[in-house]
Amino acid sequence: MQLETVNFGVVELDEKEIIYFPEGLPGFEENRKFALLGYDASLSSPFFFMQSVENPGLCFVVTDPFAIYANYEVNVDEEDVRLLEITDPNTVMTLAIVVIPENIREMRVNLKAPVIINIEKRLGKQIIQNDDSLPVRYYLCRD
Amino acid sequence: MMTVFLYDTICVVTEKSREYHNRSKEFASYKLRSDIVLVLSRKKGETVMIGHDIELTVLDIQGDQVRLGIKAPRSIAVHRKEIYEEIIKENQCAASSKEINISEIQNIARDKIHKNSGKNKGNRITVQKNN
Repeated sequence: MQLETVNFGVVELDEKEIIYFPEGLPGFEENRKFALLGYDASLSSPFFFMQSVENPGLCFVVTDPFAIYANYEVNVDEEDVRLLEITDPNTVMTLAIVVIPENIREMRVNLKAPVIINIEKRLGKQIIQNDDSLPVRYYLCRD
Repeated sequence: MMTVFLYDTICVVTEKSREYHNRSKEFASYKLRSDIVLVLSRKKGETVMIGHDIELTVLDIQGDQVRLGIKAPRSIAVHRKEIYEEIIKENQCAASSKEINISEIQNIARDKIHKNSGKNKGNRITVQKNN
């Protein structure tokens, strides 16, 4: 199918690649279908995009939280394991949503509510972590 | 067949009632809203049942702080409302990021990125860089 996007123009997308979010994302409950897009197929770039399939203008920059935060850990409770049909932890992909403000040096990453994706079943959910030490706004470029 | 509920250990949530006082006007309008089913007073140590498997206990009251104990099946996510609202706000900020220049982002963040721990697997679709 042809996926229309504001940022990347029209992208050719195999429908099997679409990730379904049964509950949408907090604040974007109506947007259930997303595709992961990147400039670099080799997976070497930790930044890529979660583009809404239904809304060409809705695109999140996402990153690999394990690559930016030492000892990052994610917990998924039983209910969400069921929702995402997770049977093997190796099929789980964890992403963190990035905010890029006008001053790009103030970019921040939401480590409190990572996006968890079952890459085999193509199911996803943004799951708020109970760990209070995880920041909602982790400023990547501040020391 | 017997239904067994797995209970988490009681988790303690400290809510600042100051914020609540600040929102007293808001509260007045809550009372008029149909989705507020019950407004009631509880003393320290007393409990409210929500449905048949959620217990809300007032553990302690000190000044303007109330400590609540929440006992619920593991399947129920318990979060402070502020956290959920904060996540919504942060998602909205993220969605309004414009003119994304990924190479600039990468340059700036380069020294902050560790080698991928290999915990993440998955594929993504490659798009052509336009410019």
